[in-house]
Amino acid sequence: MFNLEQLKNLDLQRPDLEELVAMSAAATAIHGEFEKLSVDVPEWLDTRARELKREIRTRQQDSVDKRVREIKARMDTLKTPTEKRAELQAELEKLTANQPQ
Amino acid sequence: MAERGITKNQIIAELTKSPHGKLEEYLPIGKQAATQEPEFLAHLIAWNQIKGQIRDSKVALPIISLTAPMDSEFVSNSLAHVAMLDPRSLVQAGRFARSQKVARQAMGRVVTGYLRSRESNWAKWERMAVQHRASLKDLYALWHVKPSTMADAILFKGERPKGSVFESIANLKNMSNSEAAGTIMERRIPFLIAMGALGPKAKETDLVLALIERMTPTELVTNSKMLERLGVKTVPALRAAYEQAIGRAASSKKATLKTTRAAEAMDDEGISDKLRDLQEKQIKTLGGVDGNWLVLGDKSGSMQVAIEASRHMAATLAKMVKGEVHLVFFDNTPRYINATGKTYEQLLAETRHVTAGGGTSMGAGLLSIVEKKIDVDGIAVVSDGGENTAPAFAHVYAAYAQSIGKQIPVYLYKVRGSDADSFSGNLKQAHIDVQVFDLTGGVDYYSLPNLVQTMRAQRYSLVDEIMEQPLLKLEDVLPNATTKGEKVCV
Repeated sequence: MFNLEQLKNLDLQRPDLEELVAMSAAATAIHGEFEKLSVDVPEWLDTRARELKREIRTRQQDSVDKRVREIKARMDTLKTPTEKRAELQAELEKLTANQPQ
Repeated sequence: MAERGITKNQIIAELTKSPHGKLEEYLPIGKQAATQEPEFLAHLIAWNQIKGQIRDSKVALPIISLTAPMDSEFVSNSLAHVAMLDPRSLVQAGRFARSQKVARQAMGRVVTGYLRSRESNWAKWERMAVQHRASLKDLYALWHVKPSTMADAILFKGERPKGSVFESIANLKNMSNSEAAGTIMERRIPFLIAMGALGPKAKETDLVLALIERMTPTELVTNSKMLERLGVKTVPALRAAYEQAIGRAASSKKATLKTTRAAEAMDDEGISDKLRDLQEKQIKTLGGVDGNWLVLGDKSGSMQVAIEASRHMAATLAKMVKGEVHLVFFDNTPRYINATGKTYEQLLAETRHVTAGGGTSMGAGLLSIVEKKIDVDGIAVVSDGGENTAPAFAHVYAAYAQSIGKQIPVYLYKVRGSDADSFSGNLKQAHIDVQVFDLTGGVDYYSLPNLVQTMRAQRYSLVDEIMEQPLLKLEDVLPNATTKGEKVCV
């Protein structure tokens, strides 16, 4: 269950992505309520909201990186021996071309 | 003097043992249970299969149950649970059965049926052979079961049929990193097998990623230190893979006892925090214990171990109970802490100045709850049981039970101390039922969730729950192997 202390003493390591998103939503809602009630928004709230958004973006990007690697790896397993041979041949040519005469 | 029978609670307490492969430790109580409470033991075996956390008990109890003459229904249930073991545990069960000279023919039929049913489904057999090659060889050899042609070729002749997963595993080290990673994921090669086949290449990012994907929750937890070295905190793709794997492990009931230990071994605080969080989620997954609970922690002289165990007990209960948890440290006087919803770290911070010293008055601890008018449904006492100072627990308990109109179950977690256990005797004299968990051999904090799982607010509800667990029939698990009504005891 979300509580204000959890947000104030934010630990970005423990929560999973869903929990981070929930906390970010809560921070945004609390921020809105401060403004609606014309109460000064505490500095910590903005800081935590920024940290949460940054962490969520980082984790999303991490997931994309992971998926890209997975897809490339899966594609490599689908290559035929001919394709693999062609790749090796190209690599060999590149290496020998760069060698000093 | 009349011989005293074994109680169901004593039998249940066996499940909380963690003998690390020494199955003989289950024999004294297990044999008595098989003779005196065969029906209860049969249901306990079935219950433990689903709820239990200790693999050794799943291997030992079905075998021990066969040491006494039993109804064929119970025999069938025991053998069915043997037949549900993985090959490694089945080898262990077979060896244990042989050492106890029990059910030799029935075990032979179970192993034969087990192997034949796996052989009849090539995909399943192949998966099992990848992971349990040595154990399968042992099963065929120890029980003289003739392997099928394919099993013989792969296990005993070392052949790797073209296009099989065995060929893929053998070729992993010759593939490019990316292709090897793809192969591990595509062919669902188990972590340990892939790790062994890859050799030094296993440190490459693509391969670490694939290995994380193939780790079981237990492997993830126990290999966190290695993953830390391989960059799960620094490489974005690995960070994501680890994060997702932790998410999967959170719903697992298997690695619970190991997660804290893994967390403590971490250098990186981030990973350590993540593992602690994982354990909290895993403990929640184990299921709840009803009611409000009181943990009475003995802080009298030489009881430092009880202080630490009480913190762990309260923290574990705090995660598992649906109600409130109250922690009271006592010597001559009590110190109260509301432990509801608190983690071990929070309790440690709050009680860091609690040190051992003074006399032992468990009644004083309970009295503090009475005075605060707190209503609890169960009491866990962590102590050596050396009650030596008034007020006595039994007296306060009687008054408390009368005031709240119910008898509350009492559990004694008996730790090593300098005093003899007078507490259990005092309670018995006062006709108060107490269930004793003997931790005098050392407190394995990581098995506490398993102990706590057996605690119930209603005195007989766990027994009822166990008795309601349906028994299995061997033919349900292995249609081709039956007990043929044979007497299997020696």
